[in-house]
Amino acid sequence: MADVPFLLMKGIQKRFPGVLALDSVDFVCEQGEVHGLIGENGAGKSTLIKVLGGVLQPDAGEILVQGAPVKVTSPSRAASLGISVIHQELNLIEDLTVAQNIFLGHEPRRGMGVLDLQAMGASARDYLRVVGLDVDPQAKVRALSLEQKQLVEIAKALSFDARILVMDEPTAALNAEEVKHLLKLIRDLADRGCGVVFISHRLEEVFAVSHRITVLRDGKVVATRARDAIDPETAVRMMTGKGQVGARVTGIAPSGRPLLEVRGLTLPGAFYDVSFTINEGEIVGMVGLEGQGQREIPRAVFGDLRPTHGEVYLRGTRLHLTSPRDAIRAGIAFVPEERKAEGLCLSLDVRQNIALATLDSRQMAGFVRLSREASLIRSLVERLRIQLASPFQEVRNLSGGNQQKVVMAKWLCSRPAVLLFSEPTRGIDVGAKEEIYRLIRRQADEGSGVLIVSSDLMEVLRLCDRILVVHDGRIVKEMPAEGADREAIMTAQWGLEAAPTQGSSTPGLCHGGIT
Amino acid sequence: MPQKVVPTSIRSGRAGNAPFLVTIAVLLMFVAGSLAPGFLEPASVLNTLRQAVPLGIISIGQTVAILTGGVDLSVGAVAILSNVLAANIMNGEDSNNLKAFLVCLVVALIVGVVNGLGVTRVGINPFVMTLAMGIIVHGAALVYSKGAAGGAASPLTKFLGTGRIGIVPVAVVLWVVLAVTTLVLLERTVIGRRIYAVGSNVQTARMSGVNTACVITGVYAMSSVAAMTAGLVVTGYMGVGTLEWGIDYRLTSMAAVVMGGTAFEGGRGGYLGTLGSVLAITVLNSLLTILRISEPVRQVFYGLVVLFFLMSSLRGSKESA
Repeated sequence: MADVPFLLMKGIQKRFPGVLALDSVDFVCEQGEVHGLIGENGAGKSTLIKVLGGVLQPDAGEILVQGAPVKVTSPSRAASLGISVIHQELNLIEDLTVAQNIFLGHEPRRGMGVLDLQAMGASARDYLRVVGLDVDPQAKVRALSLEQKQLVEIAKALSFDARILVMDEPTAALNAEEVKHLLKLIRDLADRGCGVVFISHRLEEVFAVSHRITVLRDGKVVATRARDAIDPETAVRMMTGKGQVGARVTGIAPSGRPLLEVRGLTLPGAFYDVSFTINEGEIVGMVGLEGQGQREIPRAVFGDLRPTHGEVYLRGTRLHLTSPRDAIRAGIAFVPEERKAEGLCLSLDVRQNIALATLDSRQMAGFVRLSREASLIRSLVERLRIQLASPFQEVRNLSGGNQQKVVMAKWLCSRPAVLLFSEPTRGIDVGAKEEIYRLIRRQADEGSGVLIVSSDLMEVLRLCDRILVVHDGRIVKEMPAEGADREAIMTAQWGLEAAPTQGSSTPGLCHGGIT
Repeated sequence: MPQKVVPTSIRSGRAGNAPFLVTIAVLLMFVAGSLAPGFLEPASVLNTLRQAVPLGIISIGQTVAILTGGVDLSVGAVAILSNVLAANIMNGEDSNNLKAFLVCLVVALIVGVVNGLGVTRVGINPFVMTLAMGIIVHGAALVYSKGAAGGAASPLTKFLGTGRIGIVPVAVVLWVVLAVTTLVLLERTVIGRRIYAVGSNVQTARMSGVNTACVITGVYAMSSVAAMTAGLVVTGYMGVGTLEWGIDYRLTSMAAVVMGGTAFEGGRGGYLGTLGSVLAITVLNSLLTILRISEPVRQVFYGLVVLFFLMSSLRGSKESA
């Protein structure tokens, strides 16, 4: 390889409110190399490629292309420097043709702004041949399969003369055959002199395709090693955080009486054959890398998604859930991850938001019993320590932590048997976080069963009694949270353990093809 | 700390532009009064109010429809159809009242429910759904009357349209009753709370156990029934069925609601603001009549007023965002 690397990122730093997302990160990518980038949720992978792709500006550090310092101020600037990023959500216009998409923004012209359609068709065909896609350049993108669309994206990147191609989770939605094809293409592109940065939640793919691997943890580079100088187990150990787990939020020990039982729940494309039990007074944490189906599981229990197979039992009675309304009637509550989109009515006041889910229990002949409502809300505001000027204040003006407490208060109006949380403390400051942990623990102490889906492993380790690890839509591991081995959780999250709890077969590293 | 409690309707902006609009209406009345002696006499003021009744009642339905984030463009046509149906079935006899009322009610409910199902179950944009429904209903009114409406209002309906209790027109009494009912419904009942929740964030409402399809369908049914009621009042006032009025209400009611401060995106506003703008529009109309301003010029004038309010409410919402 050349003396001067094609791409050099040096001392990149990026701070977001309350968190140092990237801390003096050095990253190199040569032409002709596939460079795997791995790390757990929130390690800084996406931030790093956003900086590289011109979406975010670093607070410090510099980027050098062929030894020359550059400022990547926008995605189009990145493209002109030969850096193309293919995001997980593809960026194609469905109603345009394949050729139009490939040349969007840099169409071949004949002068006077007239498109050179012939040249466009011909060179589109060339690029398609390179990526091995056999479709008519005049076909509408809408008509293509997901894999084909992905290949069109790659062809589009090549048409910009990409020298560095960044691929964020390109295999997430592909089947085994398609993955194989894509990995081969990536190797071919590298052989042709392109540098590829490959990000995946499937460790076996990273090891199968990369020449070098960089491991990120907590915004720092742990190591950059040649593929042969590192094995998956070592990689997992490197990714596992070494930070102290804070004090556990403890309470009364769970009773051991089963409360919620989920059996064989399946929603194709999201999760398969999921079975677990939550006992009275127990807090169960569910962890997984992004997009493994763990977000969909509580939604299915809440009646928001309709699983195709499986049963849900509450205290031994089978529930038939066709909508959130059914679940609420049965005593199940759900605090969603996007509180502004699904948890709150931002233009309404605190009182109306808190009262919304339980209006029927405080009505007389259809009228809201305002005095009862007022006293209930006063007591909840006090108990949850929601800071507000008045219950008639619009929730839009509250802080994130107080907004989240309003969503919780909505469910604590009734006494839900089961509380489901998705990311209960996302975007919330540290102080409010602790309060929310204590509130959740208190609900459990009062006998509720709690399920928490979280991408924050620390949170789960501190708060939960038991942890379920989800990989590829299945629960692959179950363990008590107290004294849990973080490396074991990591290993399971990355699918490196073929020991599913439910006897279902999990595609692990077995067919991983470390060549 | 003891906090001064301000009524919700004012705090949460439910009053909308009502105070401002009522002030304008009063000012315009004094202007009109100075130009036309006798305009401020109680009987004359009440007469002006009576002219506002059809728009006022139709705007009840329009307000709730827009509160849920929708709109109802079929209201004008429903009012016309109910007028034509009622006049023909009544045929001047009080004995036919019940039959006429029930037929109109059923027709209105069907129209409203179909609107609601089209919006919720089929997923048609409310603008398109209710506009198409309005065209169908208007067509049905033309077909039913064979292009020449006739019939005759019954004595009871005429009393509703033109009668007075003391000096107060019966129609105004009816409007006051319906207006108070609407305000109570929106502010104090479970249904009202759900209407606001659906308008503010339909996904949150659903995730909080609200049957959103049911609420939205109910709102369109309510809107159709309000339009039908306005149609009956007009039947009494005109004494016959007629095709020459009403279709414009779909737009004037929308203008009244939006001028009143109810936001098109839903979840904000209420009937108090609408009430204010109906009064302001009506007084303005009287003033323009006194000034002998021709109809086309008035149209231009209305357009400008609506634009002014829309612009000021847009500015307001940007500031609060």
